Amino acid sequence: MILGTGIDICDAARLQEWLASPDPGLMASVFTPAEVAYCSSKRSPALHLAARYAAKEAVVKALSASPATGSFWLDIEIVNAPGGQPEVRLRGRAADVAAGLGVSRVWVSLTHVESMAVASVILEGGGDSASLP
Amino acid sequence: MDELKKAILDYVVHEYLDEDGDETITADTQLISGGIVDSFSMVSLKRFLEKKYAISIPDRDASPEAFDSVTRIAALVQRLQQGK
Repeated sequence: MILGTGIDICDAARLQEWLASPDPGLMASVFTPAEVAYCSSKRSPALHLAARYAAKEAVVKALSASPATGSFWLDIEIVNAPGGQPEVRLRGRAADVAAGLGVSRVWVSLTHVESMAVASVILEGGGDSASLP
Repeated sequence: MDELKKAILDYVVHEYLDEDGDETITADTQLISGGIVDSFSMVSLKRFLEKKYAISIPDRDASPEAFDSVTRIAALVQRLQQGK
């Protein structure tokens, strides 16, 4: 059963500004060291960071059925499976919120073109699979 | 307006308002629900506050509601400065 959906778009130019910032805390307040390391290994780090930023925002939107407030930046990590496909890893408050909603799996899809990155998220739970009316 | 609110308002005006625009804001202008500060800008604003006032704003407190006006942001900063 689908418990929530979220979608977001992010301009890599904004991440480029963060990468150029003299304040390392800016990046560290949103991205885990593993996310930064993965994106830094790519030809366009800002674009890959933008995709992960969009994914985090999409997860927050998908979780918005919960009354929990605040930010969840570091509680939502985008990792890559050995085959390369992105996966969402939740911890801390984000994991608590997801558990409260009955989420058993988070699906994420990322894409980007030129400087724009888009992420789509689906929360699954409460049953074996999504059902159609 | 006290110094804290003025410093936050100055930062918001300088960072997020169009220099050539005619928009003016007050301490009670809705920043997030009014579309002046988006989630991305909120992160930068949070870092500005943490560095300038030597505080750490927990994610739990960094809500769109708490950042929706200069008055609310100032209240959050004051609460954290008092260790509450």
